[in-house]
Amino acid sequence: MKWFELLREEYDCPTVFLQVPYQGDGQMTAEHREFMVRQLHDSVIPALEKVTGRKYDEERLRENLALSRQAEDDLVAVLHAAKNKPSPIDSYFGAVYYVGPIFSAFRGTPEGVEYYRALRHEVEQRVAAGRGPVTPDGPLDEQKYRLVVEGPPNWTNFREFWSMFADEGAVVVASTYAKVGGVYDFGFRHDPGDPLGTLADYCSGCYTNLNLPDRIEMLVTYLSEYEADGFIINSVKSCNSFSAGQLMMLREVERRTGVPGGFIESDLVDPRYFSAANIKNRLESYFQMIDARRAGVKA
Amino acid sequence: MKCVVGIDLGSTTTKAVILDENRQSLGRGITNSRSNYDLAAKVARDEAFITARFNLLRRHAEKTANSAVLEHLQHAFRLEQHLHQLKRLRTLIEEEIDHQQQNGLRAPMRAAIGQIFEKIEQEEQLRFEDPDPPRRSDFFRDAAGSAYTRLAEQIGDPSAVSFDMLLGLYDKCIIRVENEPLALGFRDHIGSALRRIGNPAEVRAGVEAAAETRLDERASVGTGYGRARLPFPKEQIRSEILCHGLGAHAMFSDTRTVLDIGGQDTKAIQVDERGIVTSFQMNDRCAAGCGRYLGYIADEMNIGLHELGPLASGCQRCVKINSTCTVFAGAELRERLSLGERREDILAGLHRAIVIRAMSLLARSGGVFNEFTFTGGVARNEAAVGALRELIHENYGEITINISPESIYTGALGAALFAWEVAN
Repeated sequence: MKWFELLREEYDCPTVFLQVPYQGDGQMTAEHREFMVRQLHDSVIPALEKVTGRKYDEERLRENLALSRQAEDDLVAVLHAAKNKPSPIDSYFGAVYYVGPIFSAFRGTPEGVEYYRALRHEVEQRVAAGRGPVTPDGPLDEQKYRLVVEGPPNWTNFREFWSMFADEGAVVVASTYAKVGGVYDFGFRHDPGDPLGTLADYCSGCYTNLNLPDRIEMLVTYLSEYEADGFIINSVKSCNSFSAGQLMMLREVERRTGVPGGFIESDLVDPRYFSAANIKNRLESYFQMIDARRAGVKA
Repeated sequence: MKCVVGIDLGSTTTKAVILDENRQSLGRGITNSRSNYDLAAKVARDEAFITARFNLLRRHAEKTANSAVLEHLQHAFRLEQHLHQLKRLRTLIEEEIDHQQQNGLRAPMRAAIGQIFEKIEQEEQLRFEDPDPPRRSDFFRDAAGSAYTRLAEQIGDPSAVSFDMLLGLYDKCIIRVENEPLALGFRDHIGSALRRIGNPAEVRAGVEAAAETRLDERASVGTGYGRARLPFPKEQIRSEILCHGLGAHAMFSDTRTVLDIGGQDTKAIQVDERGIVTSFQMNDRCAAGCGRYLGYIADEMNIGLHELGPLASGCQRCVKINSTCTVFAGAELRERLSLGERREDILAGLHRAIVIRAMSLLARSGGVFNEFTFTGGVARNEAAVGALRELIHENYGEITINISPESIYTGALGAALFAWEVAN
């Protein structure tokens, strides 16, 4: 999908592109990194200088990166808090709000740092009080199912979709979607000592730039580290960066963990693909399947 | 006697199954869902209690009466029910005629309706006497509708009471007959059914006992497309995927893979040795290739759903169909006909196409393992079953394929088994 070419047409504005090589072999090579740094240097910076009328200031970028790094530490603490029982956060529906500021306007700003400090403080209080997250339908303290979710949410029916989980007492303890803007929870931090190099590392390491074995590895790690009862894949029509390969991932994660996965289909942006009855049916079936397996294991 | 009830509210048909305290099947009922789930659930349930009473009668009268007499009595009971519904339909149509604008047409209309209903009643009587009556739909709407339409065509007169007028009356009234609760219970008609077969002494005590037995419903569980409509607490609603898995396990205990093709969705389910679901896949919101697709094809061809399979079996050269889109079903069919293809060959191709779609869901769910059980309304269709056998063997080798004649009740049976667990 050529989203930004379309936006350029629509708004008749200058655009600049950064080509990020896919980690097909599971790693970023020195050549990949060099390729991205060169683009930043040769085309992204000049284009931004032209649009803003301001010279590139590397010292200021280093300061922003250092601020981002502080916020990243707090964000990771928030995401890791989902290892608690009950989980104080919902790491899919709720995490959308937690990753929003750093993915968009507030990265590297004092306001961003302040937001993540306050968020971490609140989440730590909830852990201490043994509370769950607040959902649109109220607090979710009684958590029957801990889930890992793969794939984007559907924005057109976001609340309805969240309620289908919350109504059943299901909390998401880890999601890959919250990592599309960086996989900080696996150790990445922006490095003020190498401003352009660290931006290249960041772009290359975002979730949808990882190959399928690495995505599978991430899901398997989440299932065990967050002691999840199951995992759900929301396969959307409009984002092949996510959807391609999801059925293979489902089988492979099932094979490696012995945990059955659930598969639902909808879309991020097109409401016509959201069938509430169909998705509810699959989710209820999935939860009842977990119940039956629990009962069966006891018997 | 203690019993439990499972209800499967499907998008096309609603089914109910009653189990006794020993988990044995006691009764079952089915009706069309008629976009009124509440009523459909009631009708299917009542129907299941009627068959339950006939089973009790069978248990009581085993020693005194032979099974032919009991069978005959049950047929007579069905006839009484059918006549009762016909009578109500006739009354409603006559009331409708009284409200007609054109005064002059009222008398000839009434005469035509009288003729039609007398003839239908005679035909029903003949059907009752026929030891091997031709197959027909289980639902009053279909049976009465096809006879009425045929007779209206014969006596309709374009210059006076036309076929269209007669059909309009029927269409207006059949919905009302279907949507009002009629007295169709065991006690309502067993007396007249007994008289119809000459009041045989050997069953009288059994009938009395069956009618007197208190059926104490200890628990009920609902499932199916419309399950949220049931007035049950949440823990008594089960997913149809779990119910089909458990129901298939109860029918064939070695089942590992279940395929259910229902009206609105297709489900591929894997179960373990206890009948617990381990994995499942179903179609997304698009109902392409589901039972409704066959329904539209039947409508398009102006034949009954139950006639599709037999017709497709007359295929000589299966036509390759690419689309199983329900919306374009009619267009696909007409295009093929216009190209000169035979109806039988097109139908065989359509059946194969829906099975190919189901095969992809099976592959998604993990494949097909021995034994494989096919459930849902489409499992009654011999052409679909034939195509499925072929493709299963082609793709997965020698696999035992189970299809129960009761396959349409699989979901309701699973629900009843869950209800039994609730009660015990």
